[in-house]
Amino acid sequence: MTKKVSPVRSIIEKGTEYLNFGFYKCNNIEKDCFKKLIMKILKRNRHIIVTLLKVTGIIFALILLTATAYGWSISKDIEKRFSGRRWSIPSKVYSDSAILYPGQAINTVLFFEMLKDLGYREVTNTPAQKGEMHRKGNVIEIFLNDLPSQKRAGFLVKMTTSNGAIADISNMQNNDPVPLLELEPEELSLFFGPDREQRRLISIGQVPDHVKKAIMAAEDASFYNHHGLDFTAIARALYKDITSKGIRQGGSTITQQLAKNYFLTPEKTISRKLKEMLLAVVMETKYEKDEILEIYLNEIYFGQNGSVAINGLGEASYFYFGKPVDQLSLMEGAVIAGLIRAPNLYSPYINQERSRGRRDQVLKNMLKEGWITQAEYETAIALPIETAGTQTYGRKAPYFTDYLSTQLEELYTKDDLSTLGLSIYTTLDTQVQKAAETALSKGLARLEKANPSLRQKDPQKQLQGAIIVLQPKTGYILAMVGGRDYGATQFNRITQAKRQPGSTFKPFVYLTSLDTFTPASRLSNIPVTYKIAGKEWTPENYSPIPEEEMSMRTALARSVNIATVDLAMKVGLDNVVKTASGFHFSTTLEPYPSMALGSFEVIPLELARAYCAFASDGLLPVPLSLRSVMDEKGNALNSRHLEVEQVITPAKAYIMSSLLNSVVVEGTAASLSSLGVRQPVAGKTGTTNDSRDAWFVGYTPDILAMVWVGFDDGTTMKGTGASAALPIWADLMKNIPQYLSGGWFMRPDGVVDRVICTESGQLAIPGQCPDTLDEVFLEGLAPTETCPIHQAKGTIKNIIQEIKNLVSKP
Amino acid sequence: MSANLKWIILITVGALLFTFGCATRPQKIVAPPQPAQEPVTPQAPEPQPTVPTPAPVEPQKEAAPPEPEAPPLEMPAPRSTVPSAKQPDKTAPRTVASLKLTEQARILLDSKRPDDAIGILEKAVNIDTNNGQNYYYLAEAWIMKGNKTQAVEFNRMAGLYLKNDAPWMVKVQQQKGRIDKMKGAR
Repeated sequence: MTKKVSPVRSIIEKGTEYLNFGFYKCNNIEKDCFKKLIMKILKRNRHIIVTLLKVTGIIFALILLTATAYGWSISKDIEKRFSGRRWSIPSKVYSDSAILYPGQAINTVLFFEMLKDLGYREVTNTPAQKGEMHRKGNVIEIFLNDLPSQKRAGFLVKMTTSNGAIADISNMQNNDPVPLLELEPEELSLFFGPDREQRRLISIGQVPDHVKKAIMAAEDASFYNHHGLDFTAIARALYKDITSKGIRQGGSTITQQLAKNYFLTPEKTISRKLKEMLLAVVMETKYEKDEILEIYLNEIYFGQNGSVAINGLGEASYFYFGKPVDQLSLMEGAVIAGLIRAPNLYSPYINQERSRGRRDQVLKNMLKEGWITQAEYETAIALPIETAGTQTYGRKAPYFTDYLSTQLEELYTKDDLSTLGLSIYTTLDTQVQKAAETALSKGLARLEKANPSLRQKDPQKQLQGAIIVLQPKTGYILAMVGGRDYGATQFNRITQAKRQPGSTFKPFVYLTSLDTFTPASRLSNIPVTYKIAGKEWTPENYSPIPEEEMSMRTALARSVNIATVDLAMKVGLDNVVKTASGFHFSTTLEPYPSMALGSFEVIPLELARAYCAFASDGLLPVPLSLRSVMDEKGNALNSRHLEVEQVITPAKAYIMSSLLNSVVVEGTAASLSSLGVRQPVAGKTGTTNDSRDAWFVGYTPDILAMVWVGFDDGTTMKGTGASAALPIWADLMKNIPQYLSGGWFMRPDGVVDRVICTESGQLAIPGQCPDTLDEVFLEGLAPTETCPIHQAKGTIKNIIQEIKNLVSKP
Repeated sequence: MSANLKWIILITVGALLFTFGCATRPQKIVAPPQPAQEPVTPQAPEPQPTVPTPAPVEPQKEAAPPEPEAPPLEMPAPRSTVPSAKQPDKTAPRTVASLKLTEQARILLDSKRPDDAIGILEKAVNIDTNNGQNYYYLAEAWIMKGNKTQAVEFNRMAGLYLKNDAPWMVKVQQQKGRIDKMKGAR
């Protein structure tokens, strides 16, 4: 039995035989000998060769088919990836835009801080680019940035200040006066996803040619000439890889890098490399060069800012040079281009020298490619790298943005907020916010300095405070400071705390009484003991007050507890609860006499909101923090508007503001003028038992602010509303002069004034009543009778005078 | 002053009145009868001089010194419960600035863009709370959006702040009429 030989072995043996034969046969150097021999072999083994060719063809076709199928699926993937949302862009929260006008009072310190926070860079000459400003004495030249959503293009403007106010604003391009100027809103915070990538999308049209060329010079000089792969570069890289025994040198084109970043994992293996190459080829067939470059420039990683990754050229230009991409110079473009290979190695924030070296290399490549001249090269390499300076992506107004987040979550998921790149515009005024934060911080430090026993080492147990500032007619939340230090505790004492309001609740008692009592009505200050649920309670005044009775105005101004409870009992505690409920307090109020003194807890935001009704002609606004939400293209998705509800009549609101003005003029807050606030203000101090809480709520027609001071655990803060909260309020107001018009409320219909005797509360008798007051009343409740006290006195005086005259006549 | 003391004073004064009243009541004086006199024949009038004779100048009597009056009681002027404040002024910078925004809002309302108009008007109110036109246009915007409740409130505010401006009050009243005809909750 002959041994079976495999067909393959047979072919090889035959082939070898033929080769040996061929070499043997053609050894005698016959012309075309070898060629004739091959032809003879082929003729003789025709069928084998045809079979071989068929098999090869099939194998090749299979490879081609597989590659095509794979390429087709990749192509689908690419299409799907690029046609849908290409990147996760964190949504941004912005403040309200600032409005400036000639004649407006201004806090120049806060104003310039705001400009810096908006990214305006100070230059030594007249600004030449958007985002620059130049100061000289009281003249400021600003090259304004564009407003969002193309509302207004940036232009060069000159602003002159004088005596704490804006004197003039003019357009420097045509000298036209600018009667009203809107500055762009300030970025407060971002909603990052788990990747914590920050990205500012740009279009290829925004990228200057020299920046494009810099990037090409750094990464792929022949980008516009290849079809996804640069074989010269690959060969060069392969050689270097082989000689250095490992994959070290990259020969990847921009397209390949994009493929790697966008689709593949970063490991360096042959299979990953082959996939990358195939992807690159497919991408080049599907997209134009500029399109690929645009995606690349928006995708590429450019370094870190703390825990946040800087992705895309748009964000990198702001991060490194504080300007948009279209303003990058040749040198700056070369710096950024040089980063791509190793951002954290070549970052100018980490190593200036290394960054400069890499920049110069890029510039050299550009010169070699003929993209810049020798002169441009020499100029660029001589320039120092001046960066914008890092600013950590911290949150401004963190308590406010937390409060805002709870509202946004009703509209969007966390995933939406961290990926859709929404622009969220709010009501916050950053100047007011800063003034509030500073006033609170300084105020608490001042209290601790005056009374060192208030100091606590544990940041969680420190003396705390909170401020909320509202525009009372619109409900706009202009500032919110929920605590002393957000880093120590994120508990928002404006929106989450429940505290006893103390005397700041009294106005609601007096309001309830206005249907039957007047500011001139006499209230008793004689101590009374009340029985509540079998227990006796005797309210006491904060300090001894000798008068046995007084007017309602005086009782509220001096915050007389006994008189207030007397009034509450007279009008009915149920009625007081009913009145307060009309202001939508969410906490429970019970009809106990102590309620009149603010013993029931309230949420500070709701208390501030309730006072807005006094300041806005009886209309209670909904506190507004969110104004509008826009998508990345500037289309409006959601907007919120001011909403008001009439809870009391304008006449009652006017009377209440008049009463609360007395608190400031001659009552418990009379020190306000010595604290530097001399404009007409209405307000109320509040101090709870054992000084656990100190309050001051103060307002004008233009603004309302509430300050609270206390310890979270209810420990005494050893102060009062007047000594602890009022000075903080005053500090805040003095630093926001743009909100103090010095005006007062418009007198509505239904309010009359009468000159009354302060002793009797009745109409004053001219020349008889020693102390008179031009008092306001609700129409229909004004006194109609003359003062009985001084009428009798007057009669006696007249009689005595008459007697004297008769006696003295001859 | 206690009630008892008041009574004491009243009784004392009453007694004094009675005493001095009797002593000083003025007596009626009756004049004695005059004797009868012969009728006097009137004389012919003297011829009038052609040159008017100036009337004799009476020697000027010294004016009698006025009787000393009782010194008036000095009473201070009544204190006011209305703080002295800046009055609304149409030329004030904030008013001018606010009106610029009001005009922008009006144009937006004409273009049927009430949401954008409301946003502008909110800013205008923030600048000048006394500008009644803002409330008027806010009411217009809410009418356009079909929200009667808000339209009512802002119309009312417009009425308050424009009450001294007759032409505007006509518009406010007309607006009120349109709001009353609107369907929906008030």
